[in-house]
Amino acid sequence: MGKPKVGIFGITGCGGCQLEILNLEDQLLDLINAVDIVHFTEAITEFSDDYEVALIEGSITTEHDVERIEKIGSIAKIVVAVGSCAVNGGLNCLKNLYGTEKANALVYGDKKEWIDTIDVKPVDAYIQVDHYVRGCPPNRLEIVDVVRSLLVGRNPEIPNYPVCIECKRNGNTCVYELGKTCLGPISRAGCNSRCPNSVSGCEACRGVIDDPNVNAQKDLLAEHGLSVKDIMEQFNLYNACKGKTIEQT
Amino acid sequence: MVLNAEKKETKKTIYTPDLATITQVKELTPTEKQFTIELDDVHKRKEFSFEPGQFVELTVFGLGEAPFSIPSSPNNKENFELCVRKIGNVSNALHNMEPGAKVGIRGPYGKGYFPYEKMQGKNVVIVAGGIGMAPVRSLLKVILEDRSSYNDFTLIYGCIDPNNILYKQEIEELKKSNDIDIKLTVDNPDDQWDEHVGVCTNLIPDLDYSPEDTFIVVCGPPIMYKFVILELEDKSFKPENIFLSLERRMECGVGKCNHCHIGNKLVCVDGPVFSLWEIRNLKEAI
Amino acid sequence: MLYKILDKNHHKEFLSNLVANVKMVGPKKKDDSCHDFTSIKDVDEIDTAYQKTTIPPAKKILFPSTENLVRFRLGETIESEGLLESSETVLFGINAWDIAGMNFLDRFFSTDFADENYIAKRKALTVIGIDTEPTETNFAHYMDSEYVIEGFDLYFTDLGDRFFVRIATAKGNALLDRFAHIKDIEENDLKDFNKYMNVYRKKFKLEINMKNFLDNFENIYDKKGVWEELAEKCYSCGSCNLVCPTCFCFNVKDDINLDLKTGQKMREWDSCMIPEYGLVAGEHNFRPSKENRLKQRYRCKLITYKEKYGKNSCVGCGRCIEACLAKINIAEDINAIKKEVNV
Repeated sequence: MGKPKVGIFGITGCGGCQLEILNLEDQLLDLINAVDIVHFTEAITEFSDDYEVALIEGSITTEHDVERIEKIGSIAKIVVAVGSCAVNGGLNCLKNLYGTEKANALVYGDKKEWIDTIDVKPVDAYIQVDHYVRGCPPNRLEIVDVVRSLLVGRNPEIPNYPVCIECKRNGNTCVYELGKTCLGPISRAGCNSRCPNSVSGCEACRGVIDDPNVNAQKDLLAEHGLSVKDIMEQFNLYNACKGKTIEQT
Repeated sequence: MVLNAEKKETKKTIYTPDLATITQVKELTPTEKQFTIELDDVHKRKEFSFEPGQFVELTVFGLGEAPFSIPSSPNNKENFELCVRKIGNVSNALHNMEPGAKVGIRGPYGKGYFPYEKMQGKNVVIVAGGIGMAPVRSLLKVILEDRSSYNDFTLIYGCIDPNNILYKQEIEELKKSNDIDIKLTVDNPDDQWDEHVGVCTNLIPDLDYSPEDTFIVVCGPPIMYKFVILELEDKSFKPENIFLSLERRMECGVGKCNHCHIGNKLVCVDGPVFSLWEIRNLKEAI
Repeated sequence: MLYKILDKNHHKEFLSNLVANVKMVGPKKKDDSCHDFTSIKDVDEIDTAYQKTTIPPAKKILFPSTENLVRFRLGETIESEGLLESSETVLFGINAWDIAGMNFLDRFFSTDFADENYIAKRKALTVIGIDTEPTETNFAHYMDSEYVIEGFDLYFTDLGDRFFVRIATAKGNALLDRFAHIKDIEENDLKDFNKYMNVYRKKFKLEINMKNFLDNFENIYDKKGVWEELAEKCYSCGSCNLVCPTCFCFNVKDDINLDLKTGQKMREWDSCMIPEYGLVAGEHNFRPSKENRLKQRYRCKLITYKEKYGKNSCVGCGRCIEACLAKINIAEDINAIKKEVNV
């Protein structure tokens, strides 16, 4: 078997996930040796419609995005959603909360008719996704792990435990002790507790674990002076589109 | 006094697997395959001996490690067999392997095995459910290979449907002999099925053995134990003569990672086979 | 055990000599809340007046949060070999209950199947203990861990103008011979030491009463209300486990590098509080509920090793209480549970 052909695509997003791949430094050469990258929106000028694996960044926010994602879905045998936007809509979903019509008018004013913007959805709202690499930005080592897993034929392990586990493995002082708030206890790990490592609270960019203790988390945040509105805002930042929002649970 | 030495060495530790080769692969059911495995090192092959009920940790290099009970006869010194259901990363990878492929083996592990020595001169009843047939097959072989040392011998084996029955051919052959009384039962019979229907628990009330002189061995899915034990106790079988092989997450196999502990017992080290007497008051065990 | 005296004015000299000559790990201020045990390059970095450390120092060194166990290379033949890494280190400033925790790990990792990855690091470790002020959540005194008689090479007790030094090993003795000006003890030194310990023991404010707990655990185990209440609070976040000086559960993982030829078997700290802990192939979970898992943790900390080793694995350091955002307090819980079953 030859090297698998991989396409790396950006739909609507900031491009940061693709930059994470370029930032791989230590592993980038090995990655290029292990797979054949035929398309890479942010990195190479060539285009190709011949690939087996698609790594997709960004969410679907326009009719044009829908066409693109459906085409990718029809070609790729394995689809990997990379980053919050692709996995669950991410930050872009704040538009849905605001109201797509309203947001469109506010941003584009009298030119709003020119824009075909639609409600934001993640990749799996349109095509089947085989694997998810969560996070904003995703943990670049996890991207490598998914590729590696696909190469040896195993299911990549995506943690279903909270950020606290990684945070303690890293020996961090709990940010609550330093007067900050954090969604770590209910948020999915895998980021190597990146934000708490730099003394900053977790914002749940990877979504919540399967069985989050939302009541305890609300009480805790309220105890630290956050209003219900603050809590919702903090929570909806990355999770407005899909999955369990605090309102639903 | 040297107090600045950084030391890095390589050595065989309790976590280092021995190299082994898959010499034969046989499909047992649509979801289970039998692998014959031979340790590469001739000396280790000779030293490798196990008791029925013990298990090994098998490594697919780069993929992972998982525990498997050994279903073959301990009297076979050349190689051993494993029966693997396709269910996780390691077993999926194994199912794609062919004869000649290399794997890693640690073990055999477990102090608790089926005490066949004690069963000599007594009646033996094996109650197996589904993949639970694999660990008890080793005991079955031991008894059959020394049949005259034991008294009456019964196998009760339950599966979901006839397609799931492990070692089907072997069981058919055995049914023709007088060495063992075999009672098969399935949840979902097909048109050809002419044996029992329902769970294996239902067949226990019909056992006609004196509790004093009978050993019972149980192995099956977690849900089975509670019900089988109730039936066995109802028949007054003695807890010290009832042996159960427990399943838990045995990641290291050597009592260190702790995933398999139940109170003060470690399934990988103290088990995986326990007498009912040992665990009857152990919370969470059954 | 040998007793000696180190005068205060010779203390810094001793530490400076150590820092200059050995690889030393000691307590250093990390932020407004915590200290951390890290490599000490300058004697002034050491801060012995510490109270809180997130990760217990001995566990951090001897049983790191991730560790490679085996490396392998695939090819015509497969090579696989166990990896042992160690580094001669002096651990300075560990306190009594953390030494007690290390003693538990020593016993656990060296009995039955000996874990050479742990033992290699332990052999390379020289331990110098000191007393530290207990935090509000500390109940070490009630777990017999405020004072230890083994596990260390040297132990310094601060008697104001001088240190009372307990020497437990020849290795410790050699260290003093080489790096410190010590003198023999006199009668009043021992008196002052005893006086000090009596005062010190009174500093542990959080009480836990373990009397009758073990014999009544069966009854306690089946008591619904208490456990349900705890389960409602618990996040299942695992913080209590990871900060515990005696929690040793780990996952074993096999990894292959992108070259698809080399790889390693590694371990990483796990937690019995997360749902996946009891999961086996086929998706059956032996501890599906938070209640199950909490009972299991309390049993492991307060029953299991009392039965196996004659001493609980919990040393009463109070880290789990501090780390718990749901304010679950093992000492208060045990007291409350016992009340509920009237023992």
